[in-house]
Amino acid sequence: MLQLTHLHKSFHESNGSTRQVFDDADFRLLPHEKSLAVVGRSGAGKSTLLRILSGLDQQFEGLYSFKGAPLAQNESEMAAFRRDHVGIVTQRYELLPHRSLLNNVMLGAVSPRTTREDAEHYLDLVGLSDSKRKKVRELSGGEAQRVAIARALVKNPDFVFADEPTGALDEATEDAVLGIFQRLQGEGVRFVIATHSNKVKSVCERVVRVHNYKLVDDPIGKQHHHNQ
Amino acid sequence: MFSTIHSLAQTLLKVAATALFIITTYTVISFTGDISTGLDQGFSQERQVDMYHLTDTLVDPEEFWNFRQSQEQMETIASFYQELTSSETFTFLSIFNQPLFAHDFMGGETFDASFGTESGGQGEYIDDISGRKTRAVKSIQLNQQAFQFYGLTLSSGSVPQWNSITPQSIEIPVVLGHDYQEIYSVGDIIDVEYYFRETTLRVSGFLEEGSSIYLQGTFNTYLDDQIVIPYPQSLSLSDSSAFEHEGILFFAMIGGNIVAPQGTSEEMILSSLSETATASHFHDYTLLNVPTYLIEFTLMRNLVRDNLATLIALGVVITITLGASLSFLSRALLTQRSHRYRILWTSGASLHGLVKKNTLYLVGEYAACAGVVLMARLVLLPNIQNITALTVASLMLSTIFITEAFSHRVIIHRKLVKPT
Repeated sequence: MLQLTHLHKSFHESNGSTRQVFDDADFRLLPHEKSLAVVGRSGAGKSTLLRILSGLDQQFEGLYSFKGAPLAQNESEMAAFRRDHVGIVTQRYELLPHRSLLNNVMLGAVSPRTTREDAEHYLDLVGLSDSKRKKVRELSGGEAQRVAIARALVKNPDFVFADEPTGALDEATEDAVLGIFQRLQGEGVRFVIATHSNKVKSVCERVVRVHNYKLVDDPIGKQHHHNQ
Repeated sequence: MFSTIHSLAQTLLKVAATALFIITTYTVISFTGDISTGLDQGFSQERQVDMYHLTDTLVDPEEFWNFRQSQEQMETIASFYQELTSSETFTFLSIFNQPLFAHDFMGGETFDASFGTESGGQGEYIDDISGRKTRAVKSIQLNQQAFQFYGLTLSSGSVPQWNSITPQSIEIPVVLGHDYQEIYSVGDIIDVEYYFRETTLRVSGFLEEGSSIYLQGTFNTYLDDQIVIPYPQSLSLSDSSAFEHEGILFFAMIGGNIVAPQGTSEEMILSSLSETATASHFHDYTLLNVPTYLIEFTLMRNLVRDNLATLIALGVVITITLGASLSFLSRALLTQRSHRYRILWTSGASLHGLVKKNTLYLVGEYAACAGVVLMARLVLLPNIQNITALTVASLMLSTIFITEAFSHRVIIHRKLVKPT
C-alpha cells in the first residue's frame, strides 16, 4: 500500500506571500486498487501531489510510506524509490526529439537489469514496434505519448504516475491511450492519474478530489461518469 | 544519430573555443610582457640615444701581427681605449662574442659555439696540448658600461668587481646565462682558453632569464646560454711575452658601439673620436653608420610602442568575445544535456549521479582543451617561453573548469528540481 498522511505543503510565491496547497491531507492507494484518478480545479495541487508521490518534490511535511515502511525524504532514497517502483508520464511527453523511439524508451531504463528486449517489448505493447527506429520528431502527439508510456513501463514499475497524460490529445487519440491503460491494468500495472478528463476518470477504479487543501473521495463524480 | 553528431559538434566547438580563448589570453599576456621588455631594451626612444659602431681597420693579418709585437703601438691602443671610456661626448660599449675553449665542460651541446648555426662545429674533442676534453662554447665579453647600459641584472650571485679585473688576470669572475643554473653554481670554476691564454673563470652569478643585448645588428641577442666575461676597466701592459693574449684582447676591446644622446651630430662624434685618436696616437679605427635596417627597425619599434595600447585593447576585445562565445556554447550544451538529465532523473537517476556524469563530461572537454593548448603551444608558439603567461593560462583554464563545474551543479539542481 502507498500511503501519505498528514500532508502539509505550501509554496513561497515570488511576491513574498505563501500559497497553501495541502493542509493535513491524507492519500492512500490500497493494495487491490489498480487505478486512481486525482481531480480538482487547475492549480489545486494535482501535479504537486504526483511530484510528491514520485519523490520529485521532497519539500513537504507528512509521513510517506510504501508497503508499511516509511520513505525517507531525501534525494538518494527517493531516486531509488523512483528507479525501482515508479514510472512517470507527463502531459508534455519529455522525449528527445532527435533520438529514436527505442533510444528514448531505453532512457527510462536506469537500472542495468533492464534490457533492449524489454524496451522493444513495451514498444510492442503500446503498438509502436514497427516504428522503433523512427525519430520522435516524426511522431504524432498520440504516438509520442505512447512512447512516453513505454518509457515509464520499461523498468516494470509497481506504479505509473501520469500527469494529464491525455491533456494534449484529441478524442480519438485519447481513446487509444486509455485503451492501452486499461490493457496494462489487466497486466497488473497500477496507475495514479492526475486529470481533468471525464474519460480518464471513467476508466479509474477510484477518484479523489483535491478540495480545500484536502484529498477527498469523489464517489459522485465516479458514479456520474459511470452513468454517462 | 543527428542528435549525437550535433552534440559532438557542439562539444568540439566548445573545446576549440576554450582552447582559442586560453591561447589568445596566453599570447596577449606574453605579447604585452615581451613588448614592454623589448621597448625597455636597447636604444629605445626613452633612452634618447643614437648608436654607432666602432672598429679597427687592421685587416691585414701581417700588419695586425706586427702591430701586436710593438710595445709602443700596444700602448697607443691601450690609451685609445682609456680615452674612449672616459669620453664626455659619448659612452663606449665594448662588446665582442669570441668563443671560449672550455676544458672538462659540464654543459651539453646547446652551449656549443656552433649550436644553432649552419656550421657543424667540432663538438667535444680532446685538446692536443692539455689532453683534456674541450668544447668551443658561446661567450660574450663586455665592459662595465655595456653591462650597465643594457640593464643586465642577476637572478642570483653577485656582479663581478670590475676593478679587480686586469688584462693580466688569470682568474676572472664571470656571470653565466640563465640556462647554466642547472649546471654550475656560484663559486664553481671553468677552465678555458681565452684569447690564447689558459684562464680560470670563477662563477660569480647568474643572469635573469631572457637577458639580452644588441650585438652585431641583432637586437635581442639572448644571453641565456652565454658565459659573460667582464673586460678589464683599464688596460695596462705586461712584458712582450704576453702580447699575444693582450694584443688580441685590446683589439677586441676597441670594437664596440658608441652611444650618444640624441641630437649629438655625427660630426661631433667624429670630432671627439679624432681628439681621442690624437691624444692616444691610435688612428686605425673607423666609425660605421647605423645600418638602414636598424633605423627602420627603430621606426617599427616606435610604431609598435605608439600603438601598443591599441594592440593590447584588440587582444583583450578578442579575448572577451571568445569568452562570451564560450559561455554561450557552454550554456547551450548544458541545456541540451539537461533535457536528457531530466528524463534520467524522473526515471530514477540521482541528482548526485547526474552532476557527477556532467562533471566527467567537463573533465573530458577540458582535458581535450588542455591537449589542444599544449599542442598549439609546442607547434605554433615554440618561441614564446613566457612562464608567467603559461602559468596565467593554466590558472585560467583551471578556474574556468572549476567555475563551470560548480555553476553546472547549481543549474542542474535548479533545472531538475523546478516543477514544469
